[in-house]
Amino acid sequence: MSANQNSVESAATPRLFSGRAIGRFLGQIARRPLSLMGMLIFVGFIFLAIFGPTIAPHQFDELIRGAQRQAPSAEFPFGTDRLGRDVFSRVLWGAREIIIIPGVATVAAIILGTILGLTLGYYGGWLDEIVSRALDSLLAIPALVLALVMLGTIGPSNIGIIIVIVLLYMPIVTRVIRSATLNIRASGYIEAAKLRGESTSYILFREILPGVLPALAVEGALRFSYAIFLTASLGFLGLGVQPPSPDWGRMVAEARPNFARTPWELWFPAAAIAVLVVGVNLMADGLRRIFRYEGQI
Amino acid sequence: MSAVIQANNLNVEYRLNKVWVNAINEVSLTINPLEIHGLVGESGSGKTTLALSLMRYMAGNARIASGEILLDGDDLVRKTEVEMRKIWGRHLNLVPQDPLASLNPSYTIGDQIAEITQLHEGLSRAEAWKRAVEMLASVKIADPEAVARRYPHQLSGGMQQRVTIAMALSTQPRLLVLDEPTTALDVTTQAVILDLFRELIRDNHAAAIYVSHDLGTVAQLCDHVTVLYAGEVMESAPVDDLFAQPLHPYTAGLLASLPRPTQNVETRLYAIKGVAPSLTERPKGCVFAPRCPLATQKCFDEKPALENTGTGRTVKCHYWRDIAAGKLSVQAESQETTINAAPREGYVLNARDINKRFGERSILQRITGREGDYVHAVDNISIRIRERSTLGLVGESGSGKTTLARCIVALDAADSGEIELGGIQISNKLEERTKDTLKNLPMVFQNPNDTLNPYQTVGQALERPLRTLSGEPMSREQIRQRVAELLQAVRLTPEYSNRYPSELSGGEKQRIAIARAFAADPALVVADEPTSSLDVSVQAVILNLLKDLRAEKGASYLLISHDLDVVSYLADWIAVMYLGEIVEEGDTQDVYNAPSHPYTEALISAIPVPDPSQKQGHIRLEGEIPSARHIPSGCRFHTRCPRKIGKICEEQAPPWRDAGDGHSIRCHIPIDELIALQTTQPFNNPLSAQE
Repeated sequence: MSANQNSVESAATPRLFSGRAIGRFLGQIARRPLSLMGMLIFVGFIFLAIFGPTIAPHQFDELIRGAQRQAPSAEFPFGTDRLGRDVFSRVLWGAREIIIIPGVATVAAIILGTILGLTLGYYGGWLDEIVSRALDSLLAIPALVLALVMLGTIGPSNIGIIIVIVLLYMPIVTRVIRSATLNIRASGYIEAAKLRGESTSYILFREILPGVLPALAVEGALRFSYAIFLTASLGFLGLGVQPPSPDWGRMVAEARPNFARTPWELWFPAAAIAVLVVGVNLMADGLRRIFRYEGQI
Repeated sequence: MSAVIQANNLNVEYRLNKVWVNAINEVSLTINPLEIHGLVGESGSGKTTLALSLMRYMAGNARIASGEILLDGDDLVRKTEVEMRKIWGRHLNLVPQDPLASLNPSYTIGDQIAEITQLHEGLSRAEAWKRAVEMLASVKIADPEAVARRYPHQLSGGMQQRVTIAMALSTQPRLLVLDEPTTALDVTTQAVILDLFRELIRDNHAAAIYVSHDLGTVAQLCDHVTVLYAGEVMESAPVDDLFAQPLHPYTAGLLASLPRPTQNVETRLYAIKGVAPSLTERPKGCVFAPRCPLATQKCFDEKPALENTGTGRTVKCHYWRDIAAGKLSVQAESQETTINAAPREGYVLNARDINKRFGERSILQRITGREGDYVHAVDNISIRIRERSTLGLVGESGSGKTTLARCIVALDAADSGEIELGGIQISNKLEERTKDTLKNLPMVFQNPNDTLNPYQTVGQALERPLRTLSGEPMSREQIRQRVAELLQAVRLTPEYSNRYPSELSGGEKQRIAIARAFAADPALVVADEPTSSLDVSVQAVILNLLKDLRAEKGASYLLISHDLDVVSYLADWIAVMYLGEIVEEGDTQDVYNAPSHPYTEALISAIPVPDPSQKQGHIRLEGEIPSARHIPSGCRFHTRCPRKIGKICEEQAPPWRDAGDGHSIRCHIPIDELIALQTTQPFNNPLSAQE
């Protein structure tokens, strides 16, 4: 019945960037406890990334004399490692890199993927065929294999990790945006814009882009959570963020041999990774529901 | 005669945002054996909800709040879902709006029909299959054995709809619910399906509920009609009485808003003002009062009762006695006229020999030097449109009318042909067209829901063409003023400029789209089925508006529609297209009257006339429009032509024959003979009937 359809339709087309829209968005988030939790976790970790080093009681590489292998206590909430470093402080310091590197990489993958996806979806034809198949073949390579080969060749570095993440996720973003664009490009308003003689860039970025932003928001959050996990995995394998910076993945790797004696050394960085990834995932799921986005997850 | 189904004081509610809102309000309905009962109303009036509720088949968020539904005296409301399953598919069957969506794509047609009788009548597989083939034959499917072995997607839309009818009838049900079963079909196919319904329902001793927004098909098919508005019965009457003298202002308004070919060109269509109330804001008095031209204070304060008028009809209006006595009439308002400026002499558009084909040659075909699988959508068509006039382009879907329009605005580039706009030749490619050309050639699209960008306000949508296409640069203030003027021109207030499309109704969106097309003072507006997805009352608003704007702004239209009545309301010249060719063109009056091309004749004959006393024409087209991939030889229409004269039609392309005043027909039958044929075997022509 169209009366019902109308009410559904108005809820499904959120205005982006208006005060009302943001208010309604927050209202929708707040109504879903899990999404709200994900959002709060994400915001909390952003806070840690900014202020973590300031609120950390110790430097990440500070060797506290006579405090090796201490179990969690009031003084050392997460305990200390075999060298006498405060695990709590190291986790706090580590938050910055685990947010920034995947964050930068995700943003880059999203920007490149969006431009490519919009262009391919809008133009179609043989260009789309060739580029889409090339991206598909890139997707066929297992993530870790590609990362190991790349980082093994160019040597582990932050830039290297970012390039790997961009290479891995840009094709996925491209695919999502391309299919969203395909749905929009035959719309009356796009044809009307063509008949006004609008430039292609105007059509892509002013007419189509707002329509794919919901898909983009969901995709961005999702890719970000995967990127965090990948960064941590690379750290664990020793190809990630290099010492002495505290990296949660590497902290887990370093703690592994000592697990029997100092399990807290492993628990806390591992828990930090898990909480962050789960939080971002919950948020992505919330976004997906709010935008009624039915794409691949 | 005992009723097949009887609903008493039925209330149906929907759960929206955690509250139950009333969708069907105190509806009582009786359907007798052999009766086809029409349910009409605008979208949102609750007609589908009511029809499905009578089957007790409803959405997950709906419930029957009170009332009873008696099927042969047995109350369905108190049955459990398990009990209902024995009744659904056996006694109560549904013919849905979209046949493809309701057929399972992974089973053959025969299996799907056989399954029903196997389940409900315990027939063996072989018996059930045999029955399925019989059913397919009964819905006039040629070669039912072969069709039974096919899959749904291998059939055309009309065939699919016949299959769903065969399925619905295979258990000899007591009641059939027909939910807009012909809305998705072409008018020629619709005529065939309606004939089939009439015949089959009688043969099977069934009864039917026919849900439709189309008063024409209701008039032609139904015995009794119930008019719904906001989930309430406004009026219920035998079909002849209802159409002869509607007693409720809403019914009268709906009927008056239909474009009819008999209308004087200067008569404005009656338009019901306002929009239907949402379910949550039901007016206290009469639900129709806010939109009723006859409403008094009493109507707003006091809810009218559903009164029996004593002639087998009921009506819910305080003033039905005055309406019946002719003291009150909504028609008075419809006599208002529009300015109907005559066309000017010059031609705004002159398109010659336009060709457009789709498809490519595959690599294999290129290597072997063979022709590709081209689809000839537009084949050497020439059209001219005079200044301040309207050319109406009609034809079934697949006739190439939309492609021709898209070639003219250059959304598709014509393969060959010349287009002159205002005497100046313009490019066939959009990229090569000048700003001035673009300004003069906007288009209005079919689907109101994607014609506006959901992320732009109405103001933004109207500003953009002003900025990019208007010759002189405008200040912010000037633009704001122009936007207000445009909104004014489409009869909307300036406040609309801050709204988003999701806050507008379908009709309002289409008005904004028209305002956008007129933003830069165009010479020719191309409108592709601008009203086909709107309710009749809204359609009337849009058609009036287009007529007014043509006179006010001096623009011309190329109007595309499958609906001849819509076209004839606006167009002074009509071109009829079939399979990529124009088969007839001429003045609107001439095209409606004999002599006509046999295809035009069939199209007119298929129009369901919204008047039960005028039965539909008897000419029916066999089959459906052939694929443009395999165009028939000779006259393209010979495969379906009811007036085919022989081999010549199959072998030679017909000549253009001049019927005077520029009226030309492409047919092998000479004009005199066409006139003789079409007057000695007359069909119902609404125009000639009036003259």
